[in-house]
Amino acid sequence: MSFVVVQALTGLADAASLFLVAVGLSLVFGVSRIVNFAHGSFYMLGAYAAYSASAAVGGGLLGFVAGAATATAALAGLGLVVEVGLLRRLYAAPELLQLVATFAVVLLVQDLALAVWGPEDLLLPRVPALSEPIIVLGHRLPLYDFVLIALGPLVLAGLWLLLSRTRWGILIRAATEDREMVAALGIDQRWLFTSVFCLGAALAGLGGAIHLPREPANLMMDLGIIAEAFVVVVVGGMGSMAGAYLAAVLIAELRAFGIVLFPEITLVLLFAVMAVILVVRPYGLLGRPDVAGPQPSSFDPHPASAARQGLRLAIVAGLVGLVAVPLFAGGFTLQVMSEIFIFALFAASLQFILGIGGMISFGHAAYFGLGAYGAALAVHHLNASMPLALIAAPLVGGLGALVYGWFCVRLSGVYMAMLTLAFAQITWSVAFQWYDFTGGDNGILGVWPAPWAASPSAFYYLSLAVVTIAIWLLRRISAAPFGFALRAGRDAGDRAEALGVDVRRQRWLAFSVAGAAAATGGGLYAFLKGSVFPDVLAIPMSVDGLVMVLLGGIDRALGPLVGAATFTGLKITISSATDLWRSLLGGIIIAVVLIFPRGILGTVGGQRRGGAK
Amino acid sequence: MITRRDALVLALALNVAALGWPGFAARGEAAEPIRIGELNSYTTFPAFTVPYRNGWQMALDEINAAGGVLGRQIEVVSKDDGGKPADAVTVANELVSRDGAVLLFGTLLSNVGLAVADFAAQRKVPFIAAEPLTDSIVWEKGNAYTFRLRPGTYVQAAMLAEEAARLPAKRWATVAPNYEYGKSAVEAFKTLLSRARPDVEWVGEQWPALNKIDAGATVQALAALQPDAIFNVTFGTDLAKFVREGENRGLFENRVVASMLSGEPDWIDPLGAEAPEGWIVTGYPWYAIETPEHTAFRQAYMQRFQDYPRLGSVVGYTTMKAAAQAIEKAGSTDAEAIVQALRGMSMMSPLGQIEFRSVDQQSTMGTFVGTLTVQEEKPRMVDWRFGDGAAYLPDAAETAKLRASE
Amino acid sequence: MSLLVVEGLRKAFGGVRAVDGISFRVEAGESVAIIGSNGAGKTTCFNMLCGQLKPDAGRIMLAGRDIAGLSPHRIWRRGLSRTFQVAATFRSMRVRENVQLALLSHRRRTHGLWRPVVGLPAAEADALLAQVGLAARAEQPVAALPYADRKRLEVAMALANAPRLLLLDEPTAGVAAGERRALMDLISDLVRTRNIGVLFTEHDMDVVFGHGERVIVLHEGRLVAEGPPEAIRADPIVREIYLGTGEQTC
Ligand SMILES: Nc1ncnc2c1ncn2[C@@H]1O[C@H](COP(=O)(O)OP(=O)(O)O)[C@@H](O)[C@H]1O
Ligand SMILES: [Mg+2]
Repeated sequence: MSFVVVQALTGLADAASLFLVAVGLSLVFGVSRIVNFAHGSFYMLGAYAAYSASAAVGGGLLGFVAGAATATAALAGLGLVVEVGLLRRLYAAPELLQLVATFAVVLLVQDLALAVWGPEDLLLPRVPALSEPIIVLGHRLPLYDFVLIALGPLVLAGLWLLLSRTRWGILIRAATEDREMVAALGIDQRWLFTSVFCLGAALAGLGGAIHLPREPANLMMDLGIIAEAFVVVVVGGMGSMAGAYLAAVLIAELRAFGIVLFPEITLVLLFAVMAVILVVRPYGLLGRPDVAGPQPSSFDPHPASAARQGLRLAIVAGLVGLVAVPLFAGGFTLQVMSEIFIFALFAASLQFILGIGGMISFGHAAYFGLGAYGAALAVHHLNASMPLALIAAPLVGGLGALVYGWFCVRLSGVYMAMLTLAFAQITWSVAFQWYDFTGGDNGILGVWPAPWAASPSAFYYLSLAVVTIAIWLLRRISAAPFGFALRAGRDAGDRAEALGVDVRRQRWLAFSVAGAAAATGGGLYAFLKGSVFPDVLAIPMSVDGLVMVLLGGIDRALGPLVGAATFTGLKITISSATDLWRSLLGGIIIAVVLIFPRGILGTVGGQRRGGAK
Repeated sequence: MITRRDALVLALALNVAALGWPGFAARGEAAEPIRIGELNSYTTFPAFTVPYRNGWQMALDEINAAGGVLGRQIEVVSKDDGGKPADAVTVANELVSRDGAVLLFGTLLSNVGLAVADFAAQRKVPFIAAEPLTDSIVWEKGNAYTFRLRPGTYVQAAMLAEEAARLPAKRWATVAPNYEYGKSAVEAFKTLLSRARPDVEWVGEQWPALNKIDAGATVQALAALQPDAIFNVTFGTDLAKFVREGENRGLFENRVVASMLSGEPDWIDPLGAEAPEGWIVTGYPWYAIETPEHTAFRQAYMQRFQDYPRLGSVVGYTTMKAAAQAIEKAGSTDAEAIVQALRGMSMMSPLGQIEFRSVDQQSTMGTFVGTLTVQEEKPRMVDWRFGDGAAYLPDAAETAKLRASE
Repeated sequence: MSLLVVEGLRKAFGGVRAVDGISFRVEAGESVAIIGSNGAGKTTCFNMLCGQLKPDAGRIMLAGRDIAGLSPHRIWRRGLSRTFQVAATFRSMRVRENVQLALLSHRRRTHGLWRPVVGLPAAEADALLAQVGLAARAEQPVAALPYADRKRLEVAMALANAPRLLLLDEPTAGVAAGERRALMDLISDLVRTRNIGVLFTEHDMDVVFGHGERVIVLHEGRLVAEGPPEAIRADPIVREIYLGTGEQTC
């Protein structure tokens, strides 16, 4: 019994940092509707800033307090820079651009932190005043845990006072509940958004600083906390501060007791709880659907039209050209091009739901990865031949998409994006922790192609053929009644419903088709690499897919292929030439988002010809 | 939706993709250096890998200064594997397919090492795994092209178990990262200690995800088991968090901890004066090893880098030397010849004479076991002894069985 | 049997009783107008009839079967079609494609994966477009249409399932005063030739009294008067709460 109490107290203490990060994320979302991936980076920078400041003051309790204060102030400043320099330009943009733009900030901050603080973990020397033991029911807990336990509710109360007793706070709440009204009152929204973002960043910085006595500042803090903070925000209800606290405590307690009851599946537990809560309450524990308000516009769509005769010829000529490549290219080049084809299919399947369906998936890697695992597991556990394994891939991925999609398509906009992310994370954590079946992070090795497909050129032809057929099918579906009905649901959902289109079902099926297509690519990917690891299911893989789609141009038929070729080409040439691959990728994303939101093709091609002939 | 210009841009992009990668080095000319590929977790585990890189660079310079091998200089193409097996496989492929590496060495995490070993077998490239500790890399999942330098979990656990068996402690709990290395270390330690002390009782296990330990909760969960002793396998960030919360909560008071690798400066020095005293650890007391070969190595290293060597430095240095000696002995850069040369090859290392056993391609490098303490604010091992790997590894017959079971 | 029978229909949003227990009927071939000031509950009522909102209480019988609470696409299949207060069309498609989609849906072919839409019921789509006077614009992207034409297009789409009952939510809102009559005449013609029941809301009293055979007056969610246009025009309650405000008529 006493153990339960002490473990619960530890959970409460763990919740503090998580709450500070999540509540800022939630506030920012409530006001500006931006889901800020970089919030975890602010947390990490907060920890580093606190470390440096503390060291400068000479450590000890004074150093710790000075560190926390510095971190809070410094991150408020950084928040200002990011908001004014980047996000301010994106409030009217489609959510997708906002999401990837903030992810670009994550990449930039990673390199920045590495450059400034170096790769080593920085452990704050013990602060004896904070480690003072307190005896609870015969167990020893450090004083600092109680500080943290108190801090959460204190910050919550402070925020509550700020929001309910100050003019600024009342405006913030009004903006959360009804943006038009605030705009109508003639309030300068820009100032409001900036100040909220700074507050959120400052809270994240403080969150990092107060975590420092328990964990050395390190380069893995950002992505580590952001996934959990998303869980907290989504479970608590986007925009709800009390919800964030409740969810932070829930998650922290879940972990504290999870490690006792299920020490080996703690991660699965976390995301599974999130999924269950979202299925039962799609807007979180304390969230309200109307808070979502009108979603920002999706991409401005263009009239659909089929490829013209002359262009068909050009495409056939292009294919013939690709067929000739193995005559003069070396093995490595062929491998890289196979990879490009595979990613082109991945991107094309994402473009299918994104462009035509208007659905944002931030977890598309789930289906790519399910395909890869489907193929690999078929080989590993069933001794399947390569063709059989390649058939298993779309079945597994399609089935996964059918199941997850059923829940996801009930939501739209960022809510859907978050739910897809949650499902991808569940799949990732299962692959990561189900050691006996998936090999955990040992992955599944020895998934090499059959002898007839083992040479780089044979594999090249195989991927070219499979990918060409799959993309062609996707195009065909887009131009068929199914694609039109899907597009109708995107353009005007109520209108489509009132014309007999079951929009949700249409979206659901499209989501599943896309999942199967992505999984087809995943199956090939497993054989290309000869192995599968949980990374194929992870957030960066999903982001890569989105970046490829955006790079190529979201509404261009050849966009996925151009995007995949450019992205993979850049990654391979540049990542071996410099260590700054992440900064470069971040820079590319920001450039695309700010300057070329229509992608390479949309930009180079200029204003596309109108719908009329 | 497709315009002519779209098609043009695509053609361009694919051209860039197809032709953008140079580097099919013409091989075979005498003046050309021999290319060796190296990969390790430079950004994820710098504490170990940066000294390791210093080590192999020092060896490389020594080799090239002495005229290289086979009359050619050696060039090492080094890459970051990001601490991820997926990235490692990609990088290994680049090293072999694009850069023309005739041999691969490196890797730190066990799962990364296993992935590269599988790749090496498929592509028939010799691979010397420098650091990965899981023994399946040379036993259950061993293959003809993969060699390993460091003593694996079995040897390390055997040395710790030998010490642990002398203790009165009966109730043991374990804490280990939930992946290959943690799993195999716990398994080996449990087997060996139970064999030596059938009266030992295993009261519970904690499996924090690598780099994601919930230290406070984990410590309390361990304390609740009321063990007499704890076997720890966590390292890196996890170790720092575990030690701090353990001290805060009094977990280590009146308890023995046997801990893998925690005497290695690579992992323990970041803790400074907060290093847990009294732990029984395997490690590397560089400050106290006074054999001629080690003293020479230490001197050269400190002179060159103005820093003391970590165990990674020894590993990097020795691996590079092994690679060069194997090529020299093979008389060519042919993969099969190098593999043949490595089997049974013996050589000198800063820790004494070692041999790559031909039965499992594991080197007989040993390690040190002792008690952790803090002297002048620094973690130090005392009462240590050296255990030769050859003495702790299973014998040839038993090993052959382990390897055959694959 | 009446085409549409509504009984005790209710809907509240939080504390606001948007529709507060209303009952009425519409006969086949009849044209009924619903009037009421802004916020009276007209759109909410429509949204319940077509399934977009679930009623809190009440029955909605379409040709003798209860459709209350069914989803919009099911109700559409039962022969109830509608237009929206703010014209809703598929902005990424051409004019003809909008109608093609409605026709495809009517034939339950929206799951077709293979044959491209291009050639599918194109002739029929053109016939519907001709009926609303948009034949010449069939190839244009919807985005290029003037607003009044989009309202016409919506009517063509709404007719694609040969509906029994047509709901028109402010069909002339946003249409220039001069064009309103033409649009309503068009609708009246279509309705007469096809024997469809029509329920429409409207603020323009000329339109209401010119095209409604019967008028229903809503006020704060309640039905306060019902009758032929002349009677409604004369009703003192109506004059006070609705016409009396004057401003709504323009
Ligand atoms: N989705 C909604 N949420 C909350 N209140 C609503 C909603 N829709 C309508 N209302 C309210 O219901 C009442 C009736 O609105 P509505 O049916 O649009 O009126 P009308 O179409 O007659 O102008 C109004 O007070 C309006 O504010
Ligand atoms: Mg209305």
